[in-house]
Amino acid sequence: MNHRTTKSLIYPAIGAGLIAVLSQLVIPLGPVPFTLQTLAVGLIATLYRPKEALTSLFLYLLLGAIGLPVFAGLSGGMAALFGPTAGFLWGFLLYAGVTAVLTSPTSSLIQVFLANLLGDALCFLSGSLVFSLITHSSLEKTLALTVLPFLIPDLVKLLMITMVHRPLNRIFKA
Amino acid sequence: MKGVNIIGYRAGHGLIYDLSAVSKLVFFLLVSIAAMITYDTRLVFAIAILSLCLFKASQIRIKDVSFVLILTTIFALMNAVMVYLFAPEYGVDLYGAKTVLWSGIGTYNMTSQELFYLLNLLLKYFCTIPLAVIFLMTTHPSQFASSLNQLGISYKVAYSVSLTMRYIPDIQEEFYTIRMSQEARGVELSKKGRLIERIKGNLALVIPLIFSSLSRIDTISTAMELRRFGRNEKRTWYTYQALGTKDYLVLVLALAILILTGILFAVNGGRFYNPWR
Repeated sequence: MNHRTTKSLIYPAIGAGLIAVLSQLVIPLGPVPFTLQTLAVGLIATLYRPKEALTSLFLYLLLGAIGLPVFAGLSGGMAALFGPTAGFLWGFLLYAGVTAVLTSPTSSLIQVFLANLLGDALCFLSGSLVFSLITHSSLEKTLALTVLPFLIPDLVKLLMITMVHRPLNRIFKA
Repeated sequence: MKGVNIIGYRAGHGLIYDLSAVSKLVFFLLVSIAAMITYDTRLVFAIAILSLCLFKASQIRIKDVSFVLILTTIFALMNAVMVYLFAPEYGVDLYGAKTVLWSGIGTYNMTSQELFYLLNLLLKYFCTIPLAVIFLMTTHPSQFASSLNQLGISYKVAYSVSLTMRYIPDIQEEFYTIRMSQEARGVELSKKGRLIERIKGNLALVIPLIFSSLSRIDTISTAMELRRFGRNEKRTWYTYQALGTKDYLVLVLALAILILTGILFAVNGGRFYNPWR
């Protein structure tokens, strides 16, 4: 087993830990909860290779499934993976996969921002569809509650990811 | 978050602690799946009672987990409220009857059927949360990794899982250290600051946190290789525990619950137990 293979086991472990810790952090901005969960997922997707990004998210969801309180708001448990907001959690896999494929250590700022924007949009698509199915409500009502309030906070997070990723990428060239 | 003790393994004695992590994990997964699938109130209620009895038998002190339980309860209630707000008459559609308890605006009547449906949703939490807490607090992380390996998952992947469980508290501690250092330098992170300042402040937290976490990876992977991790296709486990008679009984009970779920599908003509039929 070579060095690269060992590292490819540890990257997901640290990545899942980072997402778990950052998911618990909330910047108080009024009624809409601004957690760093999406920021953490976006950063892992941008910095990691696709395989390791996806494995990080699988690990994160697995730990949540067995009850570790690692989801936003210290929630966890299998029910969170099948409740109204489950689509967002599973959507993180889409986010991680798509964004990791579209970015590389040499990506430009615009590329990183657009890749994260696409990933985040897919996450919201997945989340709102599942929410609508589980609560048996119309898509309009679903969008009004689960998408619109988060548009601006998420754009801010995408900008934060874009600003942050370049200095952090230096780690991977070392 | 500071001072919040995320639930984790606590050493202890008793029947549940003596069980192999394999049987506990399989039991937890099968019973959770059964509780998620069925809406037969009688079965869900019985599983909830079983979960609470096991919780009591595990000797976990309520105060050790009360913070997490409170938050989870709030989360569950919010879910129920969301379902009501978005589909106030879904219960009526499901059970084919309408008993209005309270007339609201438009379709926001409160009916027995909707309440019954929401009760089912809440009961599911009482099934899965106690089991999850029991599993987490009575199973050592290394035992958890070895149990995944015994279930057929590659030991390298299983080891990633226990690595994550070990690093979450380390990363949390790192976060608080960095935050205190930055606040000591005047970075504003509390509610008193302006929006832009708080965003900048959180970036000042996130960047060093990720640097320190990712820079760990080289050290960890080199140390693992120096100890010959991954050299062979298989490995032994210091925390290995063979399945005993009690473990097999636990597995049989889990399978019985799952099979009962299937039987009730046939008896009820679907997932739902309908007292109005």
